[in-house]
Parts: sequence; C-alpha cells; structure tokens
Amino acid sequence: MVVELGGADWVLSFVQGAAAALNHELGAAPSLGPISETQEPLTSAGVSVLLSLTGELRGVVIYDMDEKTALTIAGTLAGTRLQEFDELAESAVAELGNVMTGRAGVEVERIGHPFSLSLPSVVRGQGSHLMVPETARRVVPVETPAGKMRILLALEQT
Amino acid sequence: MAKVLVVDDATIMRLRCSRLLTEAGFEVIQAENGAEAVTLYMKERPDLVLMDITMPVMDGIAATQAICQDDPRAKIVMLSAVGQQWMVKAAIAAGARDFILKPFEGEQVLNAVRRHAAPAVR
Repeated sequence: MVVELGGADWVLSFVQGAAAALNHELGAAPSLGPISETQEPLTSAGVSVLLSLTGELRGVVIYDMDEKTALTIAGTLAGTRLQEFDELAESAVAELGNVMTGRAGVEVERIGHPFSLSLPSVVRGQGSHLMVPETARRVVPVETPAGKMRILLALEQT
Repeated sequence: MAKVLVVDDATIMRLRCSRLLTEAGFEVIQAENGAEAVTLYMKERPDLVLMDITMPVMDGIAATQAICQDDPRAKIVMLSAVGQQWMVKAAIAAGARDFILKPFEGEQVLNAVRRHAAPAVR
C-alpha cells in the first residue's frame, strides 16, 4: 500500500535540503515527486547508500538508484566518464549521500530537530531487501539529469 | 609553494580537492582519517590542513585538537557535510580557523586556502 501524504515539517525540510545538495553536485535542479508512505518491503534498484541518524531524528535514510544512474552520478562528481562501478564510483555515491544528508541536517536543525549522522555505507544488488526500522517509511521519487533515484526515510522524531 | 594536507576518508573528495589545489599551484599531501592526518602533520608540517569531520579511526574534531595541541599555530579549515551549529562550534573550539560546508564551490575552498595558508613564521 502506498499512501500519499503532505509530510511533517521535518520531512519537507529534509527533502528540500537533500535536493539542494543534489542540485549543487549535478549542476541541475532535480524534480521531486510526491512524498508517500509505504508499508511494503523496500528493495534496491541496484545501488543504495545508507546512513544512520541519531538525535532528534532517529533511524535510517537511504538513497536508492540503479547502477547506470549511480555510474553517471559518480562520473559527474569525478569529472570523468566511469565505465565500471569501482572503488571511486562507490566513494562518489557514498559521498553524495553524505552531502545530501548533511545539507538536510542543516535545514532540519533550523526547525529544531538536530541530528548526527553515521558514515555512509553502500549496498549493491538489484532486488536486494533493504532492512529498515519499523517506523513510518516515507518515499520520495527524484528525477535527476543522471537518472532516477528514490529517497527513503525510515525516521522517527524523538 | 604552500603545502596543503587534505584529510578525507572519501576517495572522491581527496581526488577533487587534490585536483583543485594542484591546478591552483599548491603542493598536496593526503590522509584518509584523523589518526593518519596527525601523524602526517607532525612529519610534514603543512602550511594548511583541509579537514573532514566524520571519518573512521579518528574524526576530524579529535584530529584538530591533537594537531593544535602540538602546534597552536596550525591552520586548519574544516570541510564537512555536517554543518549543524553544534558541529561548527565544536570545530572552532577544537582550533579550526574556518568551516566550509559541502557541497562546496571550488573558489570557496581556494579563497580559504589562500587566506589562511600564508607561510607562518615559526
């Protein structure tokens, strides 16, 4: 079941902050789809960047995309075309997740919900099950010049 | 030529910063975490350090404290994705001279490096 919802203030601030960082890194504004909530199991499109959050927001944020999109993004960040998903590509998408979450943190702090974030980790494998906490799972589809991605928020306000 | 120590656990960030600084005429050395940065700082005495914060082994705040304890005139500019107020205050308290939030503009980094990296009289 997927239900559209407006989202709490922190959700909107988080997504806007993450999108601003994405815009900066890719040089073009991403197009954000509606924020929805889902109870369905989450599976990876191929490459997923995971970060854990603690503080006034707690849980997991995931940036999920297929390998072609990940490679295009990595190539943009590296300033060169990458042919395979190697250590540099993995580092690039992990860093993208880091800066998107970091910028989201600045926006969310402004409305009173500071949090700390973990080091990013990258999981590969199309169709692999993404284990997230049993909290409200919000999903935001994002279209970028490099391809489609999803922002998955399994976060709760403490 | 000023020597800059780039400290970041992300290969992509070390690559981007090193390219930017090298093309601008700086000598660049690199470390992958805070502990490595402290060791390299003692050995190489760079004119400036560009320091990430969230890193394995030793984070950038602890590394900044360790470097500044050894060399109170050390010039350290934080370059981090984590720009929340409490983190900026912790970095400044540890001894950082400046704080740049990722994602960054190349000019922003170069301006900070040029402003702080003038060779110090030791």
